[in-house]
Amino acid sequence: MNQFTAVTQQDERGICCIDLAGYLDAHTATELESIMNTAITNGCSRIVVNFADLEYISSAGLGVFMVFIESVRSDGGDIKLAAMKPKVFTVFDLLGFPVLFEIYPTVEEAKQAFPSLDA
Amino acid sequence: MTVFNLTTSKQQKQTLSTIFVITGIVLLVARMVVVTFWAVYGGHTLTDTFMVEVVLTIASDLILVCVIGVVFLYYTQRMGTDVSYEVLAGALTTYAISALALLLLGALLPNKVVDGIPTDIVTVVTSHVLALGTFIVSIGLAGFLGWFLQMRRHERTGRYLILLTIILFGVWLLSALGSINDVFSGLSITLVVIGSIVMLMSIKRLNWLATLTMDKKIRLLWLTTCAAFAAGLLASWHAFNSDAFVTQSAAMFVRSGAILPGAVNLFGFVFFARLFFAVLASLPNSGIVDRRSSEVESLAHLTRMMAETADVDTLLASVTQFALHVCRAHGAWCELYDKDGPIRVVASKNVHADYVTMLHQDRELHRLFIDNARPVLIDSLADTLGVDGTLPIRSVITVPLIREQRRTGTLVMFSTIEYGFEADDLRLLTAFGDTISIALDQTRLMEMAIENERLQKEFDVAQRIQSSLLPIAPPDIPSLHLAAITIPAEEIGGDYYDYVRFANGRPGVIIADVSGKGIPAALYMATLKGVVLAEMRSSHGPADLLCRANAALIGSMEKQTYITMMAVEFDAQTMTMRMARAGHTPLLLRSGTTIRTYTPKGIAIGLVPPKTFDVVTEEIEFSVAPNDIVMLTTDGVNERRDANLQEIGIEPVCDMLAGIGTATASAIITKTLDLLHQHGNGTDQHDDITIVAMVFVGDIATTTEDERLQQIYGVLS
Repeated sequence: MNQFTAVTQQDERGICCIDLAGYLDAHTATELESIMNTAITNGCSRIVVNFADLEYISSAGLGVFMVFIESVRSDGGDIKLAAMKPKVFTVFDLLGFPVLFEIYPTVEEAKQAFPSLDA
Repeated sequence: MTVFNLTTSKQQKQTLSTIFVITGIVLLVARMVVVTFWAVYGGHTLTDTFMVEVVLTIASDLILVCVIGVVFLYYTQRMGTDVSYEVLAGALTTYAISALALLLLGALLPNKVVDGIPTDIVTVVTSHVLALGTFIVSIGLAGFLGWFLQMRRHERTGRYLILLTIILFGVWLLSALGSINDVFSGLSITLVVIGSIVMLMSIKRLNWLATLTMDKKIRLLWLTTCAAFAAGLLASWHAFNSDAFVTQSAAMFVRSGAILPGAVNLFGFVFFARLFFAVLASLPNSGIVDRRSSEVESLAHLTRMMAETADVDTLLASVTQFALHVCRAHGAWCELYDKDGPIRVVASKNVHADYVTMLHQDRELHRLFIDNARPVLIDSLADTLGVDGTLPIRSVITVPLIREQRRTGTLVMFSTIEYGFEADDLRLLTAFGDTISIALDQTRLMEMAIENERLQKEFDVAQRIQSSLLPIAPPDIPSLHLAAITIPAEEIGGDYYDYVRFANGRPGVIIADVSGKGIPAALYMATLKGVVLAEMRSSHGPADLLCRANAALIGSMEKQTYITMMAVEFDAQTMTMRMARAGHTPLLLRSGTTIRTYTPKGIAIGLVPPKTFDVVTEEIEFSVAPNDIVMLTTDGVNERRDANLQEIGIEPVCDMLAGIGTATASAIITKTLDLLHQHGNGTDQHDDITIVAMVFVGDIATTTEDERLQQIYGVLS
């Protein structure tokens, strides 16, 4: 099985980018949950999730984003999703996630979508 | 002689013994009567008339035969059972008491024998009783010696026993001839000495005495002393004290009758003395033997307990009790270190748990109890650790308890004196500690097994309940044949399908998939069923039902959980389907050989509040014709994986549907499952699979072929 990994990087604008790779399913969802939890408790409220290397996502994997979206938004931030493979996007799309999350073709576009902090 | 055959049954032996006893008593009484009339009233000596002497001798001999018979029967019955300590101690006690009682009786009873003639009836009776007692004790002793030597036999035992018997007869014979010539008497004494030596050589294999415990040995020493004393006394009286009543009685009973009991008791004396020295020689190692035997017993007991006890606290209580017993400590306790919790004292013996907690307040003691990885013996707490010397606990042994390679507790034994333990105690407790650790691991496994079994039972119940939540058989719907199946990945699943009826009376089907698997998913599935049942009759259509379900469930669902759901409504009159989708896998329609998928807009239930959900959810309508197939699935179908984790996708299912022609609903499900089975190729199913197949049929009674064709063309155009 392709090892699931999630790496958090924070850029100069304070936006956290979480790079996902491998399979995100019920087993690895808890791992992502703790990584996102760490990022958020460290004060990160503007999050971009990079799906570029994610091969597969299951229903449990989708649930992780639901756990945090509310609190992040109430802090004035957001979780934006970016660079999904078509297959992964289909899963999000079927479930109606585009209604809930902003989904961008690239990480850069997602980052750009955050208003600058000065504004 | 067949009557003495070893295989004679127990009952026969008892009968025979009874006959011997009765015959003996009758003969004894008869003999007493004869002696009374002949000697007491007649004033004759017992030997002055040949006929009388012969009669008395024959009576005596027959009585002796009876005694020998009973003893022989008794010991042949015991032959084969080993001589244990208890048997030996019992025999020694019996012999010593009866022999000494005999001597005492002989010394105390008035002896009124004058020149070999008993002068009154009392003397006749007492002399007979004394003589009989003498012979019974001696013959009994001989029987016991024979039995004992047989049971502890070595290669020459058989020969020695035969030799001893011959020597006894020889002694008797020579002693009887002694009245003719003194040479025979001398030979007789020589034979007795030889017999004693043979006796000494016969006694072998007394090593088992060494394995007895200290107090048993002490008791045996005392008993052998008593028995040897009694045997020595009896033997010497018979040999040298011819005026003693005991000796005279025996002589009156059997001519030269004193020599035989004398010889036998001498052999007995040799035997008891030998036994005495054997026990004496094994005394110094008694402490070690005691300790070893109690160690072995305790470890065996511990192992038994391990096998029987499932409860950790009970096990520790028994273990502590045992350690206490084996080490002769003044007190002991077990303390357990639960994760982050306080130290838990269980199984405290002679010490209160609060006192143990108090001891832990001393930093040095606390470290001693919880830190050592190996068992430790501290001879003096005050000297070694500088602990307050006024504490009643002066010396300790601590034994760490390990469970799953983790330190879980300590067994502490203490003594109220310094140097209260030996190095051996530490070694033994080390062995104990290892065994306890194994037992602890075992109890954990047992607990897990029990827990698993309990869970399995609950799963079984849950499975039964869940399958009862799903419809048993499809309803009768005009122009529509239905079949459905759901196969959970685990015992219970989160997939759900049901047949419903909307407010307008039209039939419908719903299918749903709760995110996640197992018990949580199953609970949501059951909740959803309740919501669907409650809401369907007031729902105006598929989209309305989904909106109502979302509104009902949104507040009570966990954030990361959601339900995808699809609802369809069928109007047989117009042959149209209405459908709405809440994030669910698309609906498949096979019409002729073409496959269409319907994916109206919609978001899964439980993600957004009604104000968004109701706006997003789209309801669409499409026509169906006879022979069309509609298939509803959950994502467990298209996501069925093979060994390389490749998902089957929906395409093979579409291809199959396109090519299947006319088929029943259940045949379609079977074919779909076949496809999944082939793809899965024996790998585990990782998600619940649900399929609902709907096959539309023309209503033959009301629809003509033309109308039907028209309908089809109408749909196609």
